[in-house]
Amino acid sequence: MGDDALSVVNVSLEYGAAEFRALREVSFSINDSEFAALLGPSGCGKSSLLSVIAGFVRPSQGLISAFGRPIVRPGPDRGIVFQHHSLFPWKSALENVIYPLQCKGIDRTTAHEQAMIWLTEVGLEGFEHFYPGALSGGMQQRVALARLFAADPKIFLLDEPFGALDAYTKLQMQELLLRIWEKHRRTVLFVTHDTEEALLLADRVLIMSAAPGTIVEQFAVPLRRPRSVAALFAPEIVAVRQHVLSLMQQEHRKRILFNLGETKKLDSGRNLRLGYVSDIAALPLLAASKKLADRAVRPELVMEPNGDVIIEEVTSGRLDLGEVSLVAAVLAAQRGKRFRIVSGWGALNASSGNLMAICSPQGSANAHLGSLLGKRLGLNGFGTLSEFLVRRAFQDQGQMPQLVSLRPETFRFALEQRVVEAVAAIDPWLGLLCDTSGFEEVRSLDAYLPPDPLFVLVASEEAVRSRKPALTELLSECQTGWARVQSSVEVRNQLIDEFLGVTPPEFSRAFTLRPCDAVTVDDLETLKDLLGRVGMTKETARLDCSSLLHLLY
Amino acid sequence: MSGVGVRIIAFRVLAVPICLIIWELVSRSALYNPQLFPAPSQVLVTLWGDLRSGLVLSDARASLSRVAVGYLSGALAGIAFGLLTGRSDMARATVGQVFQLIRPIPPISFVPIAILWFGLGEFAKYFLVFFGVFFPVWISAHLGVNHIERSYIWTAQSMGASRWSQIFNVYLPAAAPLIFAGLRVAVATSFFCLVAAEIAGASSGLAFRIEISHLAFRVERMFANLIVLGILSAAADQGLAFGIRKLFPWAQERAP
Repeated sequence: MGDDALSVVNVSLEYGAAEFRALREVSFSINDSEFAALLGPSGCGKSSLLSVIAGFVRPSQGLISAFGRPIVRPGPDRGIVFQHHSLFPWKSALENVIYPLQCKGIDRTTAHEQAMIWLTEVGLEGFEHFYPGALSGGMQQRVALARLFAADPKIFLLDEPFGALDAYTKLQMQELLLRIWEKHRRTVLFVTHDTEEALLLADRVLIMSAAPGTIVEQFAVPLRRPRSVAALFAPEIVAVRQHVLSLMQQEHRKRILFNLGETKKLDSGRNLRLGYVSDIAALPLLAASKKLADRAVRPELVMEPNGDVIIEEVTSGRLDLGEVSLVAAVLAAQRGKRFRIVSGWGALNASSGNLMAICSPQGSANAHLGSLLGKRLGLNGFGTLSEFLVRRAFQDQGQMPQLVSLRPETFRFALEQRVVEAVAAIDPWLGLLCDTSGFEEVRSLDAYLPPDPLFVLVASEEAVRSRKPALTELLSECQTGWARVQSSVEVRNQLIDEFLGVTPPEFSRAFTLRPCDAVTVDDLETLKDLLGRVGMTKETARLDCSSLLHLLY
Repeated sequence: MSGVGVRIIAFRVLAVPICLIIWELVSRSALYNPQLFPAPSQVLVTLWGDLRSGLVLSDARASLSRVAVGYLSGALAGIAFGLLTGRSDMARATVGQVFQLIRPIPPISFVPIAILWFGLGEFAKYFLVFFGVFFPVWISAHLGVNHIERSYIWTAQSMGASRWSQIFNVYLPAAAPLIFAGLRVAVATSFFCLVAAEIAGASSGLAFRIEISHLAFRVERMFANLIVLGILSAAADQGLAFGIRKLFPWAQERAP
């Protein structure tokens, strides 16, 4: 054990008279010059663990040692970079990098030289006299990295350093860190909740469970160095990635349920647990829940991009109400899931732009759907409205492109990396791709939309019976929700930003959401029939969903 | 430039002269006893005379040296104790508590005690100005240090920064925006205390001159010294703000 760069043995951490257990008997070790990633869902105690290792917080029990020496307080052998506030705003970039060198007793001239070398290394030559306030978030973290490498502690601790950056900047930073680390090989413990980030950067990934956090699994990343972002799409990583994703999903769900369980205990039943898929059609529900939050009914919102998971949670009683596409609901019903459809609505664009379209890099000559055959087409999951529309669009071709399930946030990345030739995107992602990222709509899918309702609210029989007053209140607020969402672009964009986590571009897509209170048996039969005609059945949907990334390779 | 913009500039330029003219007219109209309400022209003539005779200069020097000594010592002590009580729970529980008891007492009410203790000499004036400056600076430094983002301190600690290095490179600059606010408040209170101290008993100084002119019924001289006092106080405040902006550019958005 004396040879380990860092060894953590049986560490537990409790806050406030053992009321909250943040960490439970965590044990692991990191080798010298190893890049380890600590991966776990948000709030699982990863950052607490890092604080304990840095020496800022004393563990309730357990032992931590760095190169054989027990850790009791912060020290210059362990350097840290935080997600926020990592730089001193009162020092220029250069002064920030020089400071730890001066603390080490290095004379000013040498410190200055070294600092400049590292600032140049991270691409900030010419910005050395800027104060952090004048630098972008990405540039600030570049300075923080330069400072860490210049200080050169024995162990580098990084606490979600790129967590606050936008997707593109994050990618650039990851590549930068990869490049520098591969050149200098230091011992790193990198905390993140981003699976891709962990796999891309680390030699070894430690997976942490939901609170109280503990290491549930660790494995070596089977990727050779030097790596680049493209490595994430290498065949040898598929199985690992899939495995990690499912583990993370499991832990994430545990956390959600854990949180929900907490509220249930606290509240006498006036709270509502709502799940929604991350698309624009959830907005009336979100607007309604926001309204209700001011009253006695307290909505708890859970976003889950996979409609099947939402239905699963609804039927097992862990969610009171779920928002999914009718396609997902019909397929789930075919699989024998029992639930009630309590409301529904359709979404359609009124004026400029499409609700859904196939989107491709500009000038890629994919206007003919035939040119996409044999290529990869990204979409937001299987058993979804998107899959249905794509299948309908390609019905005449008699053949399908390779469909790849991607989270909508990664559309742009997947297109840029040419992992897929095109994506089938729905607003607001469609707008983001076309209006701000230089992609273009090559084929509208709006013509293939099935008759309304497109989206439904589902609840279990049990919830309909026991939560009737709260649900009724919510549904009536949904009516005003529609009106609000359509009343102003500001309200709509604010909701998109708040709940879907996307800042909508300055595009003027106007769309209407049409309420559709009664969902009839005919509606279901019509859709079932349409699904059958394009070859979407309970089996295909289920099969594809369980193997998200298989189609990539 | 728009018409509204021009008009606003015109008002800005003309506001003070118009006031002076009205003042002059009211005073000359003898609606009110001109002895008690001298015209600005008279005041300016007196001020000019006192400037040339060196009276204003010697008074200003006396007053400013009192403010300077009291202010600097009060500010330094305030910052030092703010650091102490802001950082240490022990100091907060002991010294901090005592300060909190004394702080609400208006400093001017210490004038008689200061005279009793220190007599009519300079030290009593220094003491009163110190007293007026110390508390606003202390409380702002205390709050500033208390609210420092934890990660700044952690970052410095994990660089192995020494205690003094942490104070000068983390605690003080991080608390600076609040300390600066306290320093500017203290400029005003230092002049209050100065005036109170000089009126209570002194043999030089701008406020002493006002008091003496009052006894001698030289109302225009009272006004002249009021003007000088106002200009000096404003200049001290603006000078401090300017200095902060120049020396600490990173605190610019947050310094008032």
